[in-house]
Amino acid sequence: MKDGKRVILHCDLNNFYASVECLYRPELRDKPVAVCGSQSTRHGIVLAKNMAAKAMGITTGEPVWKAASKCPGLIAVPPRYGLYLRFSSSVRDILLRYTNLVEAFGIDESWMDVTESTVLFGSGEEIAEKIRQSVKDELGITVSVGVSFNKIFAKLGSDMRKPDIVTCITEDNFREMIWGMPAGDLLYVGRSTAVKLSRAGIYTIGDLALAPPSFLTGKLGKWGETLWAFANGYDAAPVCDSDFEHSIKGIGNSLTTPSDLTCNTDVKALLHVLAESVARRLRRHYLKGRTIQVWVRGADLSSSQKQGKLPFYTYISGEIAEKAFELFKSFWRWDIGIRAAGVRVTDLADAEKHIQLSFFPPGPRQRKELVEHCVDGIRSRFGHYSVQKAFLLLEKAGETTGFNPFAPFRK
Amino acid sequence: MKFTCVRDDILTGVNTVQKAVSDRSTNALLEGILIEAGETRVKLTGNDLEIAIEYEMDAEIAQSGAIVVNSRLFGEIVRKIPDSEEVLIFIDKNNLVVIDCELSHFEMKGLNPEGFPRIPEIEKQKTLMIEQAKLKEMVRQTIFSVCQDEYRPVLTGALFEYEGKDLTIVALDGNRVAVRKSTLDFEGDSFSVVVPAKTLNEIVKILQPVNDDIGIFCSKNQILFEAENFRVVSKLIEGEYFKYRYLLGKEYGTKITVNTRKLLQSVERAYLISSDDRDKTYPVRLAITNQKMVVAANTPTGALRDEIEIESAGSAMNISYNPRYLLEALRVIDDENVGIEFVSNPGPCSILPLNGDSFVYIIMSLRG
Repeated sequence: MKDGKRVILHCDLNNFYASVECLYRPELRDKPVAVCGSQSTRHGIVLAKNMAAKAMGITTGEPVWKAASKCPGLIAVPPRYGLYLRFSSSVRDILLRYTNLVEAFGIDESWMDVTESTVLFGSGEEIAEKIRQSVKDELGITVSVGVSFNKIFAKLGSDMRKPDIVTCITEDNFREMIWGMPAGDLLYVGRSTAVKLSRAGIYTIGDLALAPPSFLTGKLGKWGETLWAFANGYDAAPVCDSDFEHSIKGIGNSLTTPSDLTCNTDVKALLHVLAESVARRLRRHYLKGRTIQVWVRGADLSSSQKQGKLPFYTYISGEIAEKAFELFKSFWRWDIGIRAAGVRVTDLADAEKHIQLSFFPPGPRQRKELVEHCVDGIRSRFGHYSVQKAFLLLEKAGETTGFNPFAPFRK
Repeated sequence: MKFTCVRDDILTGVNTVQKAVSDRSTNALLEGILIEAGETRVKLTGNDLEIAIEYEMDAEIAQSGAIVVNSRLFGEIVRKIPDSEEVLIFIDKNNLVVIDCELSHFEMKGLNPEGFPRIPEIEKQKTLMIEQAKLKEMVRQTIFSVCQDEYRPVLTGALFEYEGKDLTIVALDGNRVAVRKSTLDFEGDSFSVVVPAKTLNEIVKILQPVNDDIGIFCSKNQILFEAENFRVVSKLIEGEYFKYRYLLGKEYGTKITVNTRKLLQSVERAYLISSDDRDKTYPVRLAITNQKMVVAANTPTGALRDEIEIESAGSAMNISYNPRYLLEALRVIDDENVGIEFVSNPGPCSILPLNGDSFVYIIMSLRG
């Protein structure tokens, strides 16, 4: 390591979903294209857009109807997640040519620590340039790369100029380059933090960097000092290598339903479906959770949520669903219908990967755990709908919830 | 009451009976030790109503009598008296206990012994006699398997089964069983009782590695252990014990003979890396092929792979266990070599002596 300084890259695939779609359908390339969820099941928001659509003022996350009104010729295409995953892993393969320290941040972003690789492949900027070129030549999509001495600035660099470009932020130039940018551009400064900062007269990253840390701590708590450190380039967070699994804080699923839910029975069915998905993901990571959160979005788009604690750690879907339903009933008054709901489990603990067998017949909770594992086994062999809770069949739950939690990722 | 004794004698006595004294009780008498001076001997008693211990020692008695003293305070005072010194203990007026030795003079308040719970008398019908050293060993070799979970109260004790000349002690917690059998010279009425683990833990500390006999007497709900200078009376745990016999003598698919020490050391190495700070235990894997066993563990902390020479019969086997269970069983086996029988994977294994049936440890495997 030269002078103890790290060389960190952040690679951001430009307009990822839209770029992949345009690659497969070249006739669309020069037209405004947006990858959108299905409007009929009310997932109709813009997930990604190409440059042409961007020029028309379309933003990610806005409803399709709004996007269409801004841009009458907009071509909306449905997402193909399997395809995107394939591209994402191909890009990862390219990054892994330069270092094993590649940390994915979502499907289309990655950090790399190339400090030790500079001996082999040239400076950080040269490596970034090679990556940019390889991704373009081999995959036909573009990437913007930020090069800096910490993760936060590398990310700022890749966001600063795009597409298909390398931006270097060094210890000598970072003040000129980024201190003028709005504070909200800094990673981890979300909407509400940005509002708090602007109330305190802090509008740019420079304002943040030059503010006394104690002042920020007063406004934002402990986090204030962390953000101050980020703005000054004091970010020592490591890039975790490719084998690293993020420690999971919570697991949740939410869903917007095809039509508004109007009664407890519908909600119960939905919560069971969500809980099954959450429970299965808990089991897959060998985790159990104790705190159950339920979140509801009303027809008026207002959202409300509540959480409660179970007396034990669990990955049993029925227990999660029942607790979620109990919480839901305790706060929802049915003034309006329900558009979306979510279930989340936090306060996680490790579940034993290896189950200790016993001479005793299993207790009721152990039996339920065995049933869950059995259902996992059946579903992995015969598909998600091969086995269902009986009341979900009665409810024609597929129509209420329209939810197959694993469909998008099925290959 | 007035007597003179040697400090070491009374300290041993206090240490023995203190095991049956409540640390905290609403009744001050139960936090105390009853001291009784008779004609020729002094008797100390502790009784927390679950377990009672009496200890008798020689003393030069000037005047008989009785008093209850706070166990913790009296114990500390005796402990601080120099070794081998003669101690004079007597009651002054108003239950004031005076403890005098060569250069020191203590005074402490005593309590009127009236109301101190008497040790229940046990009809000495169902009886057996066993060497102290042997009983100590048998308890030590089983007690670790007792169920820690109050959810199954009857399993929080060990089963004492006496039939013909055979005494069998059994402890099990659902995941494993420890059975230890010994044939005695003595033949009495058969009985089958469950003794609380707490009592046995204290008994093990009191029993001396000597050949002197200790008598065991049971009534319907109490058990008495009686030796020359001490008596322990404990409640029994009521309820029907787990039918452990059906677990014994299952047909096996694989049988090995292995050096106990070598296997123990290997499992100890596995255990080093198997428990992390979250109290989670990782498995140790036994892979048995022809005349060879590989002991392996792979955890976030590290990895281990040991090869041990064995004699094997039957099919190959690849099975995982909680290393702690193996460890605790192997640690108490004195035989140089043991046999291990595996039924299936997943399934139990039985650790047995090469000859006879003096012990068997059955451990359930892990799945996955």
